[in-house]
Amino acid sequence: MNDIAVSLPPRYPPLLRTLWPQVLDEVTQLLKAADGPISCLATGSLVEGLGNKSSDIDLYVISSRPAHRRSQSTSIGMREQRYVDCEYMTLDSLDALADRIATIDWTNLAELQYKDFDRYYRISIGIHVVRQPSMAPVLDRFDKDVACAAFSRWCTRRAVERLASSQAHLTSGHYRAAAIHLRNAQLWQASKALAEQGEGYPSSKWTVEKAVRRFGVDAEAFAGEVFAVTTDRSGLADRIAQLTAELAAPAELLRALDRGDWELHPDARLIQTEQASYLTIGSRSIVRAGGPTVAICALLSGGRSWRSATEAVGEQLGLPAELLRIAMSTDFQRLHAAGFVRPSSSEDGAHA
Amino acid sequence: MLDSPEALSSWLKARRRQNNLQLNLMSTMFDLEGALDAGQLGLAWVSQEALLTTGCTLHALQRGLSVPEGSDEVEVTVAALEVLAAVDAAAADKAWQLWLRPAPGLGELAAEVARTVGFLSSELGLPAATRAQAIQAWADGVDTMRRVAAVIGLAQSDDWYLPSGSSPEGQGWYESVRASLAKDEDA
Repeated sequence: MNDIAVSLPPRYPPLLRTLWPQVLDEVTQLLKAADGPISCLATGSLVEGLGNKSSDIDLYVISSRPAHRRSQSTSIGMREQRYVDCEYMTLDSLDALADRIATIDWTNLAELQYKDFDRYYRISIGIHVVRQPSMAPVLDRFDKDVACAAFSRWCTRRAVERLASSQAHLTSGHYRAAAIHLRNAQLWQASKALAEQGEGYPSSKWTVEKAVRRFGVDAEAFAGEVFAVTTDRSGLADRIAQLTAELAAPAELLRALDRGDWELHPDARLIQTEQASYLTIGSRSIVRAGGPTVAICALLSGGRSWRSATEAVGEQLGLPAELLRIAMSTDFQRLHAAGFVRPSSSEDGAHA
Repeated sequence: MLDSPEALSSWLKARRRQNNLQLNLMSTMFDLEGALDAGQLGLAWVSQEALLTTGCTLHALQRGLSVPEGSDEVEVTVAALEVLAAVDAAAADKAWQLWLRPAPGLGELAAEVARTVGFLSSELGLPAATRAQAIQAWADGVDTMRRVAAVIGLAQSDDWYLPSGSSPEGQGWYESVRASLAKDEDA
């Protein structure tokens, strides 16, 4: 029922070949603990060919039934020189994931998270150490080319959001925060270009190594570019403009990222002191806020609509309102999750 | 000496988050050591940045400060450094300087990474000087949390830990981690 595929196809790297007996041992232990038929995939950086002698062994255990008997969705085990990282998932969840990735476009990117792309890619490259024939139709839906194409879109989205955040911090005078957002935008932009060339392993920590492998670039020169840091105002502005032009984000994506339309919860109050600003909601919660978030909330509390408030604050900052709204989306989604704001009920929203 | 009493549920919640960060610290140490050994410049540089963010967040939480949670690593980095600045401006400035360094060449990589590790272990007092230290600190944190959780009857399944095939029958997870550490040090 749970037969192990013992041999490793010859295309895999020497390090994985050396470790393969250990991988099989780990899978054998998982099979002993399994309470029914499972498929088991070996994946991660070692399978991708990027890993090193300290890289963890990544295993996915897939079951047709909900993992109701497990207390955790992941488990780990320490070994000499490395650790083993195992994730448990159901076949139905993978089928749904394959559906979502297959239908991805610029407008529904926001419905997915980074971990979805990571999981999809890792399954697409996974070695089927144990494969239940009944699970094959779902597992065979995972395709590396599809993963790379989808991930390049995700990287574009992240680069746009980072550039918008960098611009917002820059116009607010927070240069170090602007620099760190810009640096991250550079990484996403490089990841996008690499994914378009078939280097779609999602973890950004491998960006330089992927570029070396794909293009044969000099690691030091590429790292110098992708990790370049600028902290002065004009340097930041120039680099943001340059990256924005290079990225050429589709208008469809920008519209999708600008969907937010928020109003303050009726019980929310903005308290501004000389030291800091706070939002409260009833007697339940308080959060410290800063930057454009405070200015927008002040206008919202005065009865302005989301669109009107962001346009006014954008004008004060010299920042297009659309970019400001994209930059603020993370903050306002967090405020929404905590109950401080809610979707606007007015007809004067961003896309009303 | 006595800390201020606090609600057990909030203590457990805070410890769970700290343990997750300690787990990140540990896994990042694996990445860092492997990258330095293999001459993987990009992985090493991103790993030391991850150590810096995780370390500053952990340090702030251990001092009882509040750092917003989130999946966005850049937002968390900025928030952690802002929180740190409120109580230790010098440490926050140092962290910013380390964060905003340009990537070094391979020749200077080990020395630049050592600056980050030195800052975390010497100046912030975190168990990040070596991989073994990070593993031990993570295991100790989990052990403490699980013992306390047991007092109030929270589920204590061991299925989160994968024993190795060579583990003696009946060996618990903590002893298994200690044994793997001992073997690693002997290797």
